[in-house]
Amino acid sequence: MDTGIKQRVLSEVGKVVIGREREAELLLISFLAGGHVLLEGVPGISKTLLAKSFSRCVGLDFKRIQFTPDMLPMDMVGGFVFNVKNREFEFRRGPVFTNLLLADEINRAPPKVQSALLEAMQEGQVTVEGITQKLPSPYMVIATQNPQEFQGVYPLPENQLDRFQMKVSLPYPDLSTESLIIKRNMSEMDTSEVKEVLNATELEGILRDVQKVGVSDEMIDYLSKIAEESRKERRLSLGASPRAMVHLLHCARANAYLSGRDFATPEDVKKVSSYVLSHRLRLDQSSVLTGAVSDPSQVVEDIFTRVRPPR
Amino acid sequence: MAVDGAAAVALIVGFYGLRSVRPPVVKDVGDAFQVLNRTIERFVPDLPVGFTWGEAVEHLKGYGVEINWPKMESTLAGYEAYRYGGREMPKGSGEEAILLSTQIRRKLIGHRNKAKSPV
Repeated sequence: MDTGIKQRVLSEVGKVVIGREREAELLLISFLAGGHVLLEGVPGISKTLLAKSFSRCVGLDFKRIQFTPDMLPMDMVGGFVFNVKNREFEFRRGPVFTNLLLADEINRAPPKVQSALLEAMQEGQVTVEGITQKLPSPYMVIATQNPQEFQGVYPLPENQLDRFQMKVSLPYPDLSTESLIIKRNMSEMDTSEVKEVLNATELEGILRDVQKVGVSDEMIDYLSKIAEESRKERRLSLGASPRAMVHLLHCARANAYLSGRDFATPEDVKKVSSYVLSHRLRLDQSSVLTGAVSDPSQVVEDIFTRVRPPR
Repeated sequence: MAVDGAAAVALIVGFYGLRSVRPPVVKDVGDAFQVLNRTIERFVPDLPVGFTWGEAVEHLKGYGVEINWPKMESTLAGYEAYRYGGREMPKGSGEEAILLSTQIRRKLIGHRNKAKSPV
């Protein structure tokens, strides 16, 4: 178990992104757990910079798509174009063919484009005109969205939200961090400052080791109880799906690996639970109206205080 | 006179209460942590049912109990490797866990008696 990876990644990302250590760590956890992340926050709080610097330091191919309402699925996945020289149609790959895809402002894309991204995220492949093309491995989508936008947006439906292993909300920085950001940006900031800290062989080994992190049967039962409790919760109209629990398990393993262990503990589950579960839970509207609850993460926290972990 | 009497009774009850908290006899580290678990569940109501060992240790550090915390954390790491990782049970009797358990009970019973005392 190599505990140095986290420090290496955080210190490289920290060269250009200030005060986002926790968010960078969550990106790393999700990446090692083979998932996709939705970054949510208002414009200008370094969502894109964070994603770019993260991809640079893990040494993967990176592409960015700026989603717009007039986009078509083929702008993203690619399509067949006629080659005049050999008079044949050939497949031209779209930006989705990469290791790390930054889907900027995903909620501005129309549903057709969003659902084309679904296949890529879930299956690691795209299908164009009946022909399926495999995407490179590892594959990760980091999508961003602005929660304040209401016009010209297509909110992600539950089934698509469920595909994101984590949703990470980026708040405004605190006063001292803000001053640091302003000071540092007086001169031009450049992500080329970020060095690659992992090579392909090392990465392959790490991903293999994360898969080997042990999870006891009692831990599995603990996760099942959490899921059951979320479905019984009165303040929720939609509880956690089995896929959510699988994602939670994968993230707990990645967290255990980064903590230098080859087994997962309830602590690992708790640490990532709010990021993995909150965006998949739907609050009961009457509970919202009566003021019983306003934030799903509050419900997640309550559920974890009620369910006894194996000790 | 009545107040003096009540104070004397409270002191006697407190004294015997503290004396009655004796370290339990355990056979191994696993047993020691189960004792600590029961103590926390019974005597530390501000820790919710869903507490983890890490949370418990952080919380109990605030109680001002005098134990060797680095040693306690290292014993806990060994116990967790056994409990969640399927490793062998760590050697020893988990004396830190027992000591912590005993101290929590002494401290909290002491607090309760102080609170009851009319002095």
